[in-house]
Amino acid sequence: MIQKIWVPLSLLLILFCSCDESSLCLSGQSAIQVGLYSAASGQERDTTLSGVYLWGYDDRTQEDKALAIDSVRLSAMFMPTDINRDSTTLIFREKTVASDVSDTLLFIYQREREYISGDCGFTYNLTLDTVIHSFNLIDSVVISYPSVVYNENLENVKIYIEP
Amino acid sequence: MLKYILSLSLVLLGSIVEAQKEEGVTSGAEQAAINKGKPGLSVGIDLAPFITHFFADERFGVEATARYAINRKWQVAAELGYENVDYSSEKMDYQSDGSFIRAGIDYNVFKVQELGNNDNILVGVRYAMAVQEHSCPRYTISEEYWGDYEGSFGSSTVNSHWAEFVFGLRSEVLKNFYLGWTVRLRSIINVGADDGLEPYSIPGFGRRDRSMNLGFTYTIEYHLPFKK
Repeated sequence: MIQKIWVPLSLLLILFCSCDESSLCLSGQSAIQVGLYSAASGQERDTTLSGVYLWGYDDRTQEDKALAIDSVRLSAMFMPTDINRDSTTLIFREKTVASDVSDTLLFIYQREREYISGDCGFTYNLTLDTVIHSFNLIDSVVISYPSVVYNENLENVKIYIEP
Repeated sequence: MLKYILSLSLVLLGSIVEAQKEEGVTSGAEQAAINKGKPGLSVGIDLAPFITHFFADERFGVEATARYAINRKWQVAAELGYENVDYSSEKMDYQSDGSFIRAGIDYNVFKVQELGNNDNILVGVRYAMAVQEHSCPRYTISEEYWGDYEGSFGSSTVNSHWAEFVFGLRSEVLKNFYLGWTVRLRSIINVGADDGLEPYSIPGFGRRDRSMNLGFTYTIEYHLPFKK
């Protein structure tokens, strides 16, 4: 009788202990996914810049931050957002030999905290309200999908580059 | 989840086959006595929270059980427990104190043909509710470039409700002393989230980040028969 109980119980214990799953936590989930497009000829076409510098500007200290992106040949990028605030300022510059022309992008958004799991903790999902920008390299900016949500991989913003 | 279910099915099937080997030949009078069963009240404790604590030391709980055997087939069951959680990770600290109650009914599917065999193979359901006071003194949302966000939640009280499907064995190892175990599939019905803080762990249910949990109990019970 005892054996009848203990054998399956032992198997169950092994099963429970061995099958306990840990969550896979994702990082950088509050970054805005941006695609680069050509503004030429009124038709939407992907474009690739020969190189991009991107860095943040801290409005509180009024200082530039370190480079977030230093890349050659880029057609899409993730722009990191300041989750301590409802806006983020980023400076975008094409990496060309002859030019140091840059554009400033101001992303304004609403933050919503979401509980993911005990292992992964919380995250901030964002809803993009507005993007204000200068017009040197950038022709226009369109918010194509305003929700920046944990574990979603969708393009949020289209940046149209001057031809 | 499928892996759980398939593995459990094999284990439990083996248990049933083993148990059903104990059938014998009985007369009509004996069969009537067998069908009457052993009505009475059983009280006991569940050792599973202590085993759980061994593998997840952030959780500590105690649980008492009671069941009333109406007849050979039907039993009304209730379980009452307490659980404390003190969890700390890189992402968050979480504390909880709470109690839970489960109530439901079990059906004994074990067909014995020998008088005095009071073993059970049980299938049943439970409705369960927990009340817990919890807090999150610190949580950190990582942002590598701009810097992490740190926040906290104060203490709040939340209620949670869930249902359980139960399968288990229960065996009389000494006169009126029973050992038993159950496997439970738990499904959340409703979880409170006061002030945006959802429970990391619900007393009696387990980790909240899964809407369905597998649980187990391992009980020692004493049976108080109502009459001879």
